Amino acid sequence: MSTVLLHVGQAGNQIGQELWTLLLEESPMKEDIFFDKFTNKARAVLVDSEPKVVKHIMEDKNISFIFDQQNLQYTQSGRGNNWALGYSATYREPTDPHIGAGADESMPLYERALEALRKEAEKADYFLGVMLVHSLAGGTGSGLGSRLIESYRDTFGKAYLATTSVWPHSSGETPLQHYNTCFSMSRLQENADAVLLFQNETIMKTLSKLITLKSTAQGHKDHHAINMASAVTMKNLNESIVTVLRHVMQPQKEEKFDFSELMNLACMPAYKMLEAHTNPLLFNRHMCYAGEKSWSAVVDGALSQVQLPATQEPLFRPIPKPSKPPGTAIPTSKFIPKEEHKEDTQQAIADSKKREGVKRFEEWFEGEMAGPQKVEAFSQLEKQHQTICTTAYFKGIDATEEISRTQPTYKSFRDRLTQRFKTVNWNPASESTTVRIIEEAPFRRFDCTRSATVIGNRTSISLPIRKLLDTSIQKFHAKAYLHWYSQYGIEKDDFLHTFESLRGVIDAYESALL
Amino acid sequence: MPREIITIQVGQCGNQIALKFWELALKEHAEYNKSLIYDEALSSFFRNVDGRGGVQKNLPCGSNITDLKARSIVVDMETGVINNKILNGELKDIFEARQCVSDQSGAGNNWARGHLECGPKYKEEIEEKVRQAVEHCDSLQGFFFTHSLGGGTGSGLGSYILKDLADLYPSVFRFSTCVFPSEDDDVVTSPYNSMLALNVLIENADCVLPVDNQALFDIVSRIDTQYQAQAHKREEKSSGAIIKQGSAITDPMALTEKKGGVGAKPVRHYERENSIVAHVINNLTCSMRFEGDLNVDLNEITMNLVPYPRMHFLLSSLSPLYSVLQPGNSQLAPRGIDDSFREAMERSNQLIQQANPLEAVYLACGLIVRGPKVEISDITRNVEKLQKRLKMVGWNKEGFKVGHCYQAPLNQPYSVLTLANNTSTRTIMQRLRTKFMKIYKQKVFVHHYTEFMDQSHFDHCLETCEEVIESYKNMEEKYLGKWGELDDEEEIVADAYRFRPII
Repeated sequence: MSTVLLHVGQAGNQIGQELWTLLLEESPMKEDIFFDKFTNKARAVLVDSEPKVVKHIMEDKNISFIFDQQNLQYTQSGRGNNWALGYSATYREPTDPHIGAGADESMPLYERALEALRKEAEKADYFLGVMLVHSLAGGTGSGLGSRLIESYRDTFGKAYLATTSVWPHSSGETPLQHYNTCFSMSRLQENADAVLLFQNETIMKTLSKLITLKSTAQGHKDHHAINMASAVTMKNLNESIVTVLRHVMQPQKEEKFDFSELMNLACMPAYKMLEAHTNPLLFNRHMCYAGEKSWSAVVDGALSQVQLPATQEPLFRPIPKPSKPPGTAIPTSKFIPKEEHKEDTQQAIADSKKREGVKRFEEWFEGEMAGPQKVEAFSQLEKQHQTICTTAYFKGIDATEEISRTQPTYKSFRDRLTQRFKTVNWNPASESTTVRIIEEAPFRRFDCTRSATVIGNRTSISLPIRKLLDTSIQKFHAKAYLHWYSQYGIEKDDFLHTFESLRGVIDAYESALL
Repeated sequence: MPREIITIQVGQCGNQIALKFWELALKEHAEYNKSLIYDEALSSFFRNVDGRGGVQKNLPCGSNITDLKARSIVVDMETGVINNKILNGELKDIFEARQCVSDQSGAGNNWARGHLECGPKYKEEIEEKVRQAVEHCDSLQGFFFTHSLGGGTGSGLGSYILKDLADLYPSVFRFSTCVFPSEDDDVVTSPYNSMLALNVLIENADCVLPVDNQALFDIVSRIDTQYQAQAHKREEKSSGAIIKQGSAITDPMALTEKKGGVGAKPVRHYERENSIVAHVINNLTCSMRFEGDLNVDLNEITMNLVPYPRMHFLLSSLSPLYSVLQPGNSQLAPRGIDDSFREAMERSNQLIQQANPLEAVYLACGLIVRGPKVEISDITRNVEKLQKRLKMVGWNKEGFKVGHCYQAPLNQPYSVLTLANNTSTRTIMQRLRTKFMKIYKQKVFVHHYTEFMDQSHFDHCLETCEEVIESYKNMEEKYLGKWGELDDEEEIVADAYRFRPII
């Protein structure tokens, strides 16, 4: 049973580089999971529309020998962060007689990539499916990736398709990211079986917390030095994604990746978007724990990475409140009514502080919540978003003896899990939360005795999708950048269809709460 | 086989800027490529030629460097610059007479002569040379035009070539770095020439980087003053004497010669100003040549920063600038990468003088960061700061395009280039329009142009220019004038999708 990994675009290939370096060390070739044991080549197809990243991989002596030359398909000029250009089936590079290795020169990139994928799938004894690794915001990863998964569905009807998709940073990686992400998400929803979403923002927050912990521990006081010491590089982002992927794709030694775990999580066609977190994370080629190495701390470290919806930002600027009618102005008279004149000054101070605190909280909260409907209590928001399915892997050398079912630690970890991932009432925790305790060292190469991975299918994924839809519609109404898309065949109708399908995803997730 | 760029340098100003650019490119590649192999980075700008045996052969990547030839077309209607500087100057080895198109008489500072007389006259020759240059390329990315708008050749013939290439090679991007005339420009007809050329740029160029001579002068004099102040401090510390203003020590030229800042040679007119522009062009294309985490190609720059087809004027600003002019002097350096970002957004570092981008609205902002020590977290941190500080247009609040290249520029640990599509670029066009109207109202000098074209063309160009100014203004007013609120129609749409808590 084998899976082919398909890396498309700059992000996909950069992650691919890290992933294959790890897999080469962790999953030896004879196991025949990620490597074909006869040819000793990786089951991977690397596609990109500019040569730099693929060439970089070929020059990396650690892993260049594992790739089959004909699985590397690239062209020269890039897809300009334009989904339409990446998606276009007919686009040919300008003045480009020489193209990637082993290529039939007359075929456009997407056909060559599909051909390479087909050949790779045919090599396997039992081809199970494809894991696509790409980003959603660019041109190649999102556009060409979407085209590839559509063709894949046509060619391989019954095979699985899981994706690892990188969601762009909300502070902006490119102005076209919203349109590109919308289109890609709609294609993923139609064609993929499970989508592992990684949000750049979340990963960066986790990593910078990790580093500041370490650097303050080392005694860096200077702000400048802390910035330097807490620099998160692109490589670090990729490394953390790769650590999660490793756990997801091969939870246990010699276990084949058969998509079953992912399919358990993505239990219904409407709910495909998964998020995964793990602790410890690979960081600069070391395993980095967030906190201590005890089981409790490891599990908490993984759970703390799970973003609670309450921490998400509001989508709109707050509407200015209607001005209060004059009679209800806050009295500013200096006369203090008798009942507030407390004898006990300590009590008075405490009371006033409490009032002040509550008032400040309320004001802050009113400012934060947009729209005329205020949600009264903070904790109500937490109650709103729930989880449909959860899976957790606790992997460690002493896993069974520390967390085996007879001991209270198992129950406490399960409780922590269900606290963080509150399940919907139609899919109770006893049915939908899977906990696997695996007794082996998580990594061969790295010094790591325990690790915890949590994967969740949560309704709160609708929040970033809402934000995305909102910004895209604003842009669409302003008619911004539309000419770049219509140049390559994506017209207004396509935009509207896409917005509708995303609206469908949001509705599906939110109706799960009812 | 990487992405190639063909530079088309037209006119006296264009050729001088381009010369500075080639000098910089050679220095950078020499710094980067110590192995003397003709690698892909070099291949973007240069061809490796084996000229033995009479017939020139292009050598592929991976061969040893034998003879580098620049991928450029040199056009000028008078022979001064071509003969003195290009074919016989310091850089004569990278140019051949085959890539030059020249004439004797010049275009007389007349756009119409350049565009409508010299253009058709040299059309075939230029097209042939461009075709040859394109054939030498494997995967052509774009044409870079360097020219000024105030003269005759750069503006007239330059815009003719731009239009021609837009027809012949529609899918290849056309970037134009054009120099707008300054306030005290000595050419009287420069407003006419600029307006007529601007019309062609609006309709045919994919991306325009306007440069203002005045801004360049200001930058150079500011750096000189800073350098003097530093030198003062050093002098005072060492000698304890008070230096008088206007004495020999405060003369910048004398200083540079003494301290060996720019070199012992006398500094030529415009050389430092041109080197600033050369740095901008270089940084723009660094991602195509060198490696980095976040590659930004030319087509990405155009697609991300140009939301509407006609609004493709980018305000550029570069930081740090000190070492462009005083290489090796690190006392004027900004303190860290955050400082560099801040400086890059300041008005004093931008190449258009009168535009005040912080008061105006940003449609999109591109940031190209170079340097090995800059990491993604530094960039994200600064972008978040900028998001709060800059007025981004409502539908593009996260309209930042970030590129990162590992290779640091010469003599500097890092640099930040900002390419902003900002509505304040209209100030440069408005200024041009005012000057144009002053002389057009009296119809002075118009007869020089009506020899070749119809007078209504002037009106047409004025209209196009005003349309673009209007559209920039609209963007600005919509999103600034009403204090950031949406208008009624948009409010209704936004309301339909507004976030509402479920319960």
